[in-house]
Amino acid sequence: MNFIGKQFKRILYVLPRVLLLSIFFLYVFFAFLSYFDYFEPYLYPLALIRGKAYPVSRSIIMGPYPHYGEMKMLKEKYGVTVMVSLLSDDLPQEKALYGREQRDAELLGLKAVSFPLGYVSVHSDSNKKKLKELVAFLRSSGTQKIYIHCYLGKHRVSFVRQGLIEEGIIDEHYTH
Amino acid sequence: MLELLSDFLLGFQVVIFIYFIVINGIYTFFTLISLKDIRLHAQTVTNQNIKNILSGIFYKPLSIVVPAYNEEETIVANIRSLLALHYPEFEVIVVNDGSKDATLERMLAEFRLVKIDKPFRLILSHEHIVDSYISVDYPHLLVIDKKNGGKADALNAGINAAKFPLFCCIDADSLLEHDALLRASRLFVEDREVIATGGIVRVLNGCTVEEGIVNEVRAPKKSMECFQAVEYMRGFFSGRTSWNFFGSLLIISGAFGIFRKDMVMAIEGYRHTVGEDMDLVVRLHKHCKDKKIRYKIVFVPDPVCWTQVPSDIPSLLKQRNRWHRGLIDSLWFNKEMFMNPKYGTVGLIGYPYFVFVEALGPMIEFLGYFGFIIFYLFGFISRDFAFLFFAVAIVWGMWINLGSILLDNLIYLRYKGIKDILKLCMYGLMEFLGYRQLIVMERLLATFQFWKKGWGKAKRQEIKSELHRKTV
Repeated sequence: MNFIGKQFKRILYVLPRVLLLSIFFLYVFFAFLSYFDYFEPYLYPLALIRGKAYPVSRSIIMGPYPHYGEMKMLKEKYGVTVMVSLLSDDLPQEKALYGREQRDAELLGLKAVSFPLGYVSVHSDSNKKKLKELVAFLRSSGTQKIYIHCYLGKHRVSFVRQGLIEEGIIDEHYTH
Repeated sequence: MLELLSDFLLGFQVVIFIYFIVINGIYTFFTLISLKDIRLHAQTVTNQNIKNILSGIFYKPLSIVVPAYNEEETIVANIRSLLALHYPEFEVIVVNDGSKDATLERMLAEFRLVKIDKPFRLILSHEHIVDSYISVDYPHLLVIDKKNGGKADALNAGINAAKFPLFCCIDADSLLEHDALLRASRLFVEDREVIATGGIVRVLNGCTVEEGIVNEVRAPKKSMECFQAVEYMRGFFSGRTSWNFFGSLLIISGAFGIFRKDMVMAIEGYRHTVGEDMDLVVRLHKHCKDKKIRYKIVFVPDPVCWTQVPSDIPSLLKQRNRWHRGLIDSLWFNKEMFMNPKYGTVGLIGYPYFVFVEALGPMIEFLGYFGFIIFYLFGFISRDFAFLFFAVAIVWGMWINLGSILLDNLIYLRYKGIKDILKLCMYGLMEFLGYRQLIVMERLLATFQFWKKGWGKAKRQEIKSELHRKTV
């Protein structure tokens, strides 16, 4: 008990200090990050936690941010003609990534559109509003094959997928 | 509502940004002022002045008070160094504050102490005195053994026992240079208005000590010690010198300071607090202003006291936590001085600086880093702002450090080896990449523990063996 008590005391001493100090190192990390235009999710180490692309209906595929080769494959293998980006235009890196996507899409003859969603609170009112705009866009796009992506292909696309299910645009149990 | 919040947050970040500009601007300004002030001082203090005092024509006798609590590793070397000081008339009073280790036994064995039955005036209150001793070999060495009551309590006991009009307090883990007392006490002879003086405190770790005298100045070996050496250089070179220039010196280090005994007794001595050194100086200012006494509290940049700094992180954090609690306690106790024109530049400049920069600084700095992260995640941080913020908060500070180290070495020429100077410069640059934040973090935590009275004893290394040279 005495040993456990001592260890508990030690943790109580160390933990707040480590947490506070980590704030500074996080600051240095973000300050460093702000000098990079791109922070690609398909490069390591982010590639390890990056989601995979999957079809959610006959005409819609969802997944992570694609690089040029993946966009080419989406076009040639799956017939995708429209790239829908959910990347936020607040974060410098996401904004830059969308800019690159636009250029790549133009080279490949694809159409790139943006419905920027915030990533800190995915279920925010502004995101819900954007989702409605996306639903309207999808309804008006007919039979075009569309690739919807966010950054890692996890949180924002899941939010959109749920919204599209509720709107009846895609089927929850759709399998390829 | 959201817009209002984002406006508030942006405004807040701008305030923090301005704070960093003001802080580093003040430090830069201080460095320039220090240069001017130190040059002037060097012109007036010649070796001839010092020799005049040593010849015994103009001097005031003084009592050196050394409070000691569990200082068995350093006490003998410290006393030896004090006994070897160049000063016409002085006594050394060591107050053993109920040490639990062999502090008293070491002194008894080393200095052939004999018990005496000497009554002391009880002007300042303190814990019960158990015994008092005098040395057979050194009649001007007096040792008081008392019950534990803290550093302030021990100092009060020492002041009661002191027989001379000036007293000098020195930490038991510190060493004075042989002419430090002469240089620091010179002003008491030259100017009757001087009531307190303090000298530079430098880092002893890494230096070679022989017979209680520092005879080879080297940069410390451990990185924690090097960072502290840089901090001490910056703090004393620019900070203390500049406050002296403005007549608003609020701190005289507890490691080395000389005071007029009658003035300290008039304010009932040291108050029982963890930051007793700053508290005493602030109360001296207050007392003199209240009683309309013409006075001067001055910092003298040439007397040097070498002190041992903590070598490990836990000891360092305990020390800084205590210092910050002491600072807050002292500011709180004397709060009526804050922005009070009655107290002149002390109340209008010095005191607010210590409140906003020293006491609240850690909180503001931490919020700056935290705010940056939040704003970055919400997309409010542009590349230009990130660069400016980094330059102001980190890079500017690095250059101030570098400037202080180089100027300090240019003026005082303490570190002889270029390797040592380069080493300190390197640590000066690295201080802002983790060490400073470690200290800021501890001070931030101390801000929320200001009511605690715990001392938090640091680990000490032995300063020297009595016969052999040893590097601390």
